[in-house]
Amino acid sequence: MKKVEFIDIIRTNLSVLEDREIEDIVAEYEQHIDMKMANGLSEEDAIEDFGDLTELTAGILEAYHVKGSAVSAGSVNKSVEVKKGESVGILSEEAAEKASDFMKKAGSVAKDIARSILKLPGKFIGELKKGEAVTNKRGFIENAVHFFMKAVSILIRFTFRCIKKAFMFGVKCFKWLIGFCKKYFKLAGKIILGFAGIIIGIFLLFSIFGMGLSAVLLVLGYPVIGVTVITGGVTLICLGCVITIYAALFGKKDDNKNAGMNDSGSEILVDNEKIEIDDDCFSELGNNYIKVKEGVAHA
Amino acid sequence: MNAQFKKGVLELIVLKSVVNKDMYGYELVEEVSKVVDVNEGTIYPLLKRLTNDHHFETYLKESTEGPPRKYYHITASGIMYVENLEDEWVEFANRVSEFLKEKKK
Repeated sequence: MKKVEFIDIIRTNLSVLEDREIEDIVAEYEQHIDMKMANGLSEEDAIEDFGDLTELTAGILEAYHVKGSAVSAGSVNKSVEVKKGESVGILSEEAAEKASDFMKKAGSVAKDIARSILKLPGKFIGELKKGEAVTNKRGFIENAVHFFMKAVSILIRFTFRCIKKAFMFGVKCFKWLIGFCKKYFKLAGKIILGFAGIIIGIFLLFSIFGMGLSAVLLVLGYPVIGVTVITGGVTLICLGCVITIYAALFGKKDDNKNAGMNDSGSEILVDNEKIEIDDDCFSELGNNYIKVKEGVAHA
Repeated sequence: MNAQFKKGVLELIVLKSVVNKDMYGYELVEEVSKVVDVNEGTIYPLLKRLTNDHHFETYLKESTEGPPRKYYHITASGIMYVENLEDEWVEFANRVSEFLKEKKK
């Protein structure tokens, strides 16, 4: 068989693939044959080494998840979706199950909240029916649209408020924890915080790396958008923790008259005025503690 | 050599050959032929499949001796895959050897 014939058969058998793919394959095989001929083989022998051409092309089509038997001289459909293989799973079975359980719980909680929210319009409808007289159909529809919009806006505002509250609560907790560490463990607390900060910092670096890696894979076409989002979120969380810890360890009040730590471990009374050594905004509980102490001191 | 044996281990050999060095088709066929006697008709479809499964990446590199050559490079997913394959092969080969040793007694 001559090279021209060989290439012709390949092109025909693979006609179902995209032109670019076909030409890429043909170019590669042609080059292979030329190299073999450069090494002394005859054209016929070089082509014979490819074996049975139908088998060869069937094997290639399999790689594209196309049925080998679908090859026919009269096939008109030229575009074939190249099915890429499945990506390697990131989560193990158990982790995935745990995650799905958590999501189910979260989903049912969300459902409850949504249901209680949606009961509100019912109240509105009741009042509407009691109060206004329905003059004509058009008026009624306008009213319906109007309070639907109102209900939606209430829903949205409520959601934002919930999110904000949860976030503020989380921040408060974290700040309280840090203040607690500082107040009651003093130097040891600072060392612990510093250590935690370093560990979280390392974690941060890894999550940045992970985010970058998954972003690259995402661009390459792997279906890893979830992983990218998650690593991005972890990065933000770690960053937030590191910044908070850093602020906690190195933050200073501007009008702080005492720069150093008090060994006795309590607040300093200067001219009967309470002077906070630590950052005031840090812990509400700490403030309460001070207020109590103040009360005791003045008592 | 038995065709089934060759078929079973071909993927492992092809992937392992490219772990340390990117190779183009002809070079790869030569390398693999040193271990098992296979022809282009078997190797090229396998290369195509491994590429479409993202275990390989390909790129064109200029060459002094003619048109640019298509090089095969193993990906991270390919490395994970071949390490798994190798473990499976070693375990499999050991079990078969053990079995044969038993039968000799």
